[in-house]
Amino acid sequence: MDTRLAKYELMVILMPDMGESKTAEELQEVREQITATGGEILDEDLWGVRKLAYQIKKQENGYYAVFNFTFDTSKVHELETSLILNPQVIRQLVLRISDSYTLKKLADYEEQWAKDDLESKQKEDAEQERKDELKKPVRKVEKPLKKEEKVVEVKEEKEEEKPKKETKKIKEEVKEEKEEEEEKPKKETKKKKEEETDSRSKLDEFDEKLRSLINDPDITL
Amino acid sequence: MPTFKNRKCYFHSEDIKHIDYKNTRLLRKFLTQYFKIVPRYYSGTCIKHQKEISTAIKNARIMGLLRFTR
Repeated sequence: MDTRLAKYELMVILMPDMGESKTAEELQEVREQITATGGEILDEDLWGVRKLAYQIKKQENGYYAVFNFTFDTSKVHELETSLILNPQVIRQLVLRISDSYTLKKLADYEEQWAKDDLESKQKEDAEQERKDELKKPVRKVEKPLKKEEKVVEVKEEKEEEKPKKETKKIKEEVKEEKEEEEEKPKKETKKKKEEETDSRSKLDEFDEKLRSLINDPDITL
Repeated sequence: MPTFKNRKCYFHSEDIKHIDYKNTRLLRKFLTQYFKIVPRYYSGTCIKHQKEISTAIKNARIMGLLRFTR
C-alpha cells in the first residue's frame, strides 16, 4: 500500500485544571502520535485556557491547541479514535486542508478584530459629529426666518378657516331644508349668491367644496 | 443586508478564499440574534460560500467557539 500524505488541521480542547506540566505532557503525546506515523508538524498555536460557549463534560473552560501537520491519509481515523478515548481530551476536530493553506493564529485574528472595532467606532463618531454639525447651524439660521413665515402662515390659516365654517353653516341649512323639500335649498343658495355679487368667484369655490363635502360618504354631521 | 438589485456575495466582494471556522467574528455576521444561520435570501451569499459558511459555523459550534442557541 502506498502511503499518501495530506495536510490536516487538528484542534484539541483539553481539561483546564490539569496544571502546566500535565498539559505539556498531553500535548507532547499528541505530537508524538503525529510524528510516529510519518507525519510532520508544520505549525502549532496554543490558545491557552478559554471560556467555552457552553458546558462540555461539566467544564466551563478549556485549554485550546491547534496543530497543522501532514499525515497519512489512511491512519487519520486511528488518531481520532485515540483522541476520543483519551479522558483528558474534552473535544477534538480533525479537518483536511488545502495545500495552499497557512495557519492564521488567534493573536492575528484578535489584532484584526481590534482594528475592526476601532474603525467602526471611528465611523460612528464621525457620523455623530456630522449630525451635530448639521443640527447646530440650521437651528440658528431658521429661528429668525421662522418668525416671519409663521406670521404669514397664521394669516393664511385664519383666512382659510373662516370660509370652512361658513360652508359648514350653509351645509347644515341645506341638509335641513333637504329633509323638508328638495327644490328649496337651490333657490336660497341662489339668493345668497345675488347678495354677495362681489365675491362670486369665492362662492363658486365654496360650492365646489360643498359638493365635495356632501358627496363624501365618510363625513357625518 | 444587500438589496435585491445590487446584491453581491460578501466573500466575492471581499475576496475571501478560505472561510476559517476559528474566525468567529466573521461567522457572527451570518448568524441571527438567536444564533441561527442566516438564509441565503437574506444574506445574499452565493451557494458555494453559503455551504462553506454553514460547515464552518457547525465546526465552530462543535468546538465550543459559538453557541448553538440563545
